[in-house]
Amino acid sequence: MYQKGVFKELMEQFISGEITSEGKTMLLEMLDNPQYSEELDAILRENFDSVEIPTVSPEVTKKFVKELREKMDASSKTKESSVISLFNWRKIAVAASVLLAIGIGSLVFFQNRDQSPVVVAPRLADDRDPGKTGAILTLSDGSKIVLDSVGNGLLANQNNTAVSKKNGGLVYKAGSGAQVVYNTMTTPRARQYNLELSDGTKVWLNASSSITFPTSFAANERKVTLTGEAYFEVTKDKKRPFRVSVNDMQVNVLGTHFNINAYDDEATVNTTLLEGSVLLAEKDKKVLLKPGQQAQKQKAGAIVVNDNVNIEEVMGWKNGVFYFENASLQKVLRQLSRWYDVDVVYEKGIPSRMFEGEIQRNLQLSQVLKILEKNKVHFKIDGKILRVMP
Amino acid sequence: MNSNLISSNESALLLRIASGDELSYTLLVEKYWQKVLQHALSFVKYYPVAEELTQDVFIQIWEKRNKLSEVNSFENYLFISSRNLIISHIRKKLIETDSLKGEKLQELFFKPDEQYEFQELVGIINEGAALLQEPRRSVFLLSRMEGRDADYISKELGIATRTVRWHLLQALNFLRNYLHKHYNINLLTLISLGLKFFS
Repeated sequence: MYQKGVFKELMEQFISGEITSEGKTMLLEMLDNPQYSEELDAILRENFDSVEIPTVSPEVTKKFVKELREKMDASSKTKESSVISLFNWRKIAVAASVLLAIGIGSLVFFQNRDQSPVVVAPRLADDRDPGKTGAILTLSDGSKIVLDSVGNGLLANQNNTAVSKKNGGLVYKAGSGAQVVYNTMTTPRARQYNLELSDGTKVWLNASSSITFPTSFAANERKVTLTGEAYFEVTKDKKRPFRVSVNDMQVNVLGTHFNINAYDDEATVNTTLLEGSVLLAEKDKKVLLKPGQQAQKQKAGAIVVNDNVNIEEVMGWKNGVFYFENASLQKVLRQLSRWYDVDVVYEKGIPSRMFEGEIQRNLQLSQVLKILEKNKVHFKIDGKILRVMP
Repeated sequence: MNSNLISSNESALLLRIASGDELSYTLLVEKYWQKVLQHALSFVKYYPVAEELTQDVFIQIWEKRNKLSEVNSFENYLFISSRNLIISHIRKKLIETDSLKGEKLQELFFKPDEQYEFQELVGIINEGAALLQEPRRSVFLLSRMEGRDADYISKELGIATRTVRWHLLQALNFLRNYLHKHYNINLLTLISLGLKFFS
């Protein structure tokens, strides 16, 4: 039965959002019926001709054209082979360390089939160990505790809040009548650490980062300050919003999992939401994120939301891997610089290479470089300097 | 944008694109992208998806650029190029189940820890709605804040149902643009938080 009027009514209801679920089912059937294609065309055409077009600034148009270009480039790039795929890293990493071991005439064994290879070999004259667990804790009175070497147990008691080391991390427990005093945890390059705040919130701090936090929180809010990179699992507490200050930006949450990458040498401050919701605020700008989204704040202040973020890449550092997706050599080396505590020097310009894949963070620097060298770049380790050779 | 492109020049422009001139292609995109985006927004309802669809339309136009030399009316060609993509999105939206249908805004934010987001959102929506002209603003408020249907609003304001719906569509598109532009809040976020006003 041909019901032109019904079809039209349903389409109008669909457009204005009034359509019921019965209406939807009916409309879906009608769309599959070629009888209505002419009417559908007319409705689409009417909208095409009458829709109001707002005036947009040239910047908005420029941004659209730029993103269009990137999308077109990306789809043509897959046809070229300018990106060497480093996936299957585990296999390559094993091969590379075997190669390396043979090169220096030594022994390789595997702890476990699933675990990474362990190279037992005389140290190369110039190599760098991977980073490890460690940090410096600055107490409210200014005294510092190096957390690399201390054993499990109570470390300090400040104004009724106990801080102890437990399973390689730090735990704060506020007693009754605890006063608000601030501690700072700092990781140098080649160290990372995790801690549990007095409200139960867990924080993982990447290398070359710091977090300042009260040993026990105030009654109305939970406020911490971050530099560098950290991953948060915030304990739900509707009465006390959790706020992270990063430069001029505030990240407000109630109870969520998210990662903030705010290194000074990266182009953007990236806030990535894994669970729950967060509200970013900076002066009059506000951005609400949903899980899987990443807000990228440029130095100039603009905040762009990226829907297609690779969580594995963002969270690689916490999961013990470097994970690269379409990463430039500079981006790769910035991460190596933090984890192996080296300064990167480009001897003759910056080669334009792209990297993709994952490398374990427990490899020696020389092993990681061997893998990268498959992409026609050459390195030399010179004490604490990593030279990129022409 | 580029309103100096007059239609007699347009066929010359299309010919240049057909022969692979990227600069001319950019001019064409600059001139027409908003038209496609706004058209798509009426059916797709979600700004980032509408934007993506618009990109796909223009990518297709570039990939089939040799056809442009035979095009008489570019607007017509543009309409046809976007047609199938939009229809497949309508299908997708019709299949989505809306479990939230019939609930009131306030009730969707019943969890106490969502009240914070709720207040933020209502504030932002009111800001945008304040920029609408009458009767468009009243149509929007009656429909989305009071949950009235098109028939009720038609009687209340003394305008035809069709006109009510037309104003509603334009108001919703306006607010979708407004939220995207000023707060970078995309509508799925709102919907995922339970706000289903704009779907």
